[in-house]
Amino acid sequence: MNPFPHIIADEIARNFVLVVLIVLLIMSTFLVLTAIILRKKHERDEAYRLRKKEELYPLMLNYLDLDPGDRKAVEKAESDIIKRLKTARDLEVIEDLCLEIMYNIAGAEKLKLRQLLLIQPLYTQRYRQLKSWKVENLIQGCLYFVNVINQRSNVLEQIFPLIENRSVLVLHTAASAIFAYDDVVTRGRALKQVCMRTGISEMALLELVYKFHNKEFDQMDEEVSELIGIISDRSVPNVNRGVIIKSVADIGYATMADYLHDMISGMHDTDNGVIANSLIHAMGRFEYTDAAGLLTEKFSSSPDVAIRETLADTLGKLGNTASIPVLIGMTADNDFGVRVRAVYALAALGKPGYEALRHMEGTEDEIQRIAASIIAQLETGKNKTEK
Amino acid sequence: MEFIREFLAWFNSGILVYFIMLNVTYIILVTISFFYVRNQLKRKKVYDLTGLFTSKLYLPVSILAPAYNEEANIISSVRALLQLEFPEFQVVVINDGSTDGTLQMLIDHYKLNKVDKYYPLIINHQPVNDVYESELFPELTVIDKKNGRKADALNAGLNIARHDLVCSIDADSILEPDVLKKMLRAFMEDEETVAVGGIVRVANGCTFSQGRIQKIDTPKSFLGRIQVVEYLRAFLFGRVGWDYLNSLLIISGAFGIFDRRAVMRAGGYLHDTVGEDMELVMRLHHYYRIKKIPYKIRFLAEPVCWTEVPEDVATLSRQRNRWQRGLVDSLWRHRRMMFNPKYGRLGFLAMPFFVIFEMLGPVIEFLGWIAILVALLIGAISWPFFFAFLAAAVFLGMILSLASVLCEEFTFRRYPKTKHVLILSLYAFFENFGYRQMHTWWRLKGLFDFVRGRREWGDMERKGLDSST
Repeated sequence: MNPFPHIIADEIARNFVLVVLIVLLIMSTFLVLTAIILRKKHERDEAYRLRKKEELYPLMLNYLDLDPGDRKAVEKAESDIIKRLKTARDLEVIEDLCLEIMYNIAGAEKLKLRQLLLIQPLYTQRYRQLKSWKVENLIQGCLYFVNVINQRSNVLEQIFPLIENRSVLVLHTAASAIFAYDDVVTRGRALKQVCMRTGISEMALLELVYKFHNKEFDQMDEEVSELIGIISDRSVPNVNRGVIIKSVADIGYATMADYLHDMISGMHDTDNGVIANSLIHAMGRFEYTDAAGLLTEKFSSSPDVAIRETLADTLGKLGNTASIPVLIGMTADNDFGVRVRAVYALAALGKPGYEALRHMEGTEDEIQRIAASIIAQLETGKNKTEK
Repeated sequence: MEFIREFLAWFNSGILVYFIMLNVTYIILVTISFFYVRNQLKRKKVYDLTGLFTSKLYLPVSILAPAYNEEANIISSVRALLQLEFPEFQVVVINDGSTDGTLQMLIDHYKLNKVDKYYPLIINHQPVNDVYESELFPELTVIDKKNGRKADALNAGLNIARHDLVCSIDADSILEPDVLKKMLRAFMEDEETVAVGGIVRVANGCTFSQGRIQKIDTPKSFLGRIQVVEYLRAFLFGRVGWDYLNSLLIISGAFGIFDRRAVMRAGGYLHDTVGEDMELVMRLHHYYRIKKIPYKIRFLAEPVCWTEVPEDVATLSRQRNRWQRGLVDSLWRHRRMMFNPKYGRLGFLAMPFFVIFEMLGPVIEFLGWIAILVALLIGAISWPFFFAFLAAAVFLGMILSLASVLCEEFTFRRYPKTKHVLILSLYAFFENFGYRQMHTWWRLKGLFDFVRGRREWGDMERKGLDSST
């Protein structure tokens, strides 16, 4: 009997229900079978990859043992490996294997593996991926070029425009691939291009600056000149310039400390808060003790709460006891966050700061309680050390 | 009688339309999720953080683990947290007035000492008795406070947390060692991210030792296995699909990372609800939309949190009843989001979905079964049609569950053997006979309990996950 007589006729309803049931039954069976087939396929694939790895591993060890000067032997070893790479899956296996081994070794052997990754079939496939419109392919292609020794200009020409890609993930991998080049000017150009973009998170940009500072090449001075070029370029968004300033201090480009100090000297009240904040942070990271006075003079009465917060933190880090009166003043700041940071900064200044905390008067109860709590913790720590 | 027949005919038509709409929505979510998860997996190698973690400029995390009578699990759970692979994190265990030996076990095992630690009370919570720090692990802080339920405990944790990101978990959950690194990717990918949820998987049946998972297996019990399928379906479709649509309304209380400042700005966790996890996410949406600040709330399917699920009917029914009350409570509190253009897709897509299919779903489903049975009894429909309808409902439910099993096969394959695929497929079928109906009843009861004003949590007994404790 048709329960929906006002919608469809009996005969149609019966047939429709029957068809629906059959379709659903087929779909259910299809899904179960597909899941099982997939699992079996995966198991076979895993077994194949394992066998292939076992087959390639001794050949790769042999390759690593060879003297790079013995071109004939190296070419033969490479050819032995290439002979065993018959499918796209084999190429993935050797790439994975190289990366696995590279993760655990360093120096000349690592360089050899990076060279080995350039074997023709793999290189051709990954290079082709750089021309794809699919984000996944672009990422895979760029990731490959992060790990190989590659100074070919055609690759660079292909990767550079990818920094402009809409996807920040493509941007990130493309820039990482360029940062594998030993030419610092090329790396600097790429970093600047990255910095011109907006919408990159602070952490992602920091990671890229770390990659730009390629430890494999000892080029600190050249890198500094590229970084100064970016920091001083006002067409670069301030937020990105700020991140570069923070990261140069974090990485430890010691020769830039004076440059940044001079930048602070030349700053005016109207200058961008993001840059100011990063510069204050950088002074703390460089432990530029002499900067305490300049920072206080320039920023202690800044209307920007974030700047005053960073200033309090930094004065604590710089360890200059001349900052104590300023910090005591900051414990009465309009903003609670600044007041709390000033208390912690005083505690960081050692005994004189600690004494200042003890005799702090005229501040609100909550700040007094935070100070008391810090004193109690310091005393507990001191007692433990004495014991 | 004719009037009843006519009424039933129209009513059943309504149910049919509802049934079709529900399944079409699910199928759309399944399809989106399937492609979206696969694409996400291909992108996971982008952020290999070689540089950032050597600096101090990444966002460190404070993990907040509220514990109420968790003596069965607490030592192993804390041990697992302390073993996480992340350069800088703090573990804050909040003993929420436990009446068992939770606190004493922590004090003894981790050599805790009381500290005179003052912190500003930015968000209110029940009074704190003491704050402890560990002699063995400087990153471990334990707060002992008066009982105020989970939300209250989390607020205490939020106040004392010293890092920019806070990760809220259940104290009985075990996080995989690399989850924080994986979750951090969402914050790297987009500066506007304020909250990220990860996948919760069923721990029953798995073997844990020293706070780490050693062997993955399906649970032995009927209810345990059905919940594995349920969790796969809920996370691999539901959450992934809503994430794609940028309309995620819930991050599981068992595992989520939040920007601490964002949570503080929104006012912290709400005390008087049993669905504090969903309510917080909805309030974050509300806060950012009203203030017109760009933001993202994400779900990542890769970072895993293992959790113990109830395997007896009584505890499970209490849990589902509570979940339903929490859901209804959150939707009711934020009802102004419904069809409100200010909230975009949230107001026009996610909210109507949750109200119609999740909140009212049990009522409609229950009434639908009653109507069909009445129609059958008075002869308005025939037995063959009844069976056909039943079969269609079973097959559709099964197809959706099977699709989640298949999605798991295409992507993560966490269950290692073919046997597991068969078990999960079988239970995708079994859950339609008895369990689904029971589940509808528990949710229906939860809805009525909410209307009647019931707000308590209900007890949850734990057996403990770690064989090494």
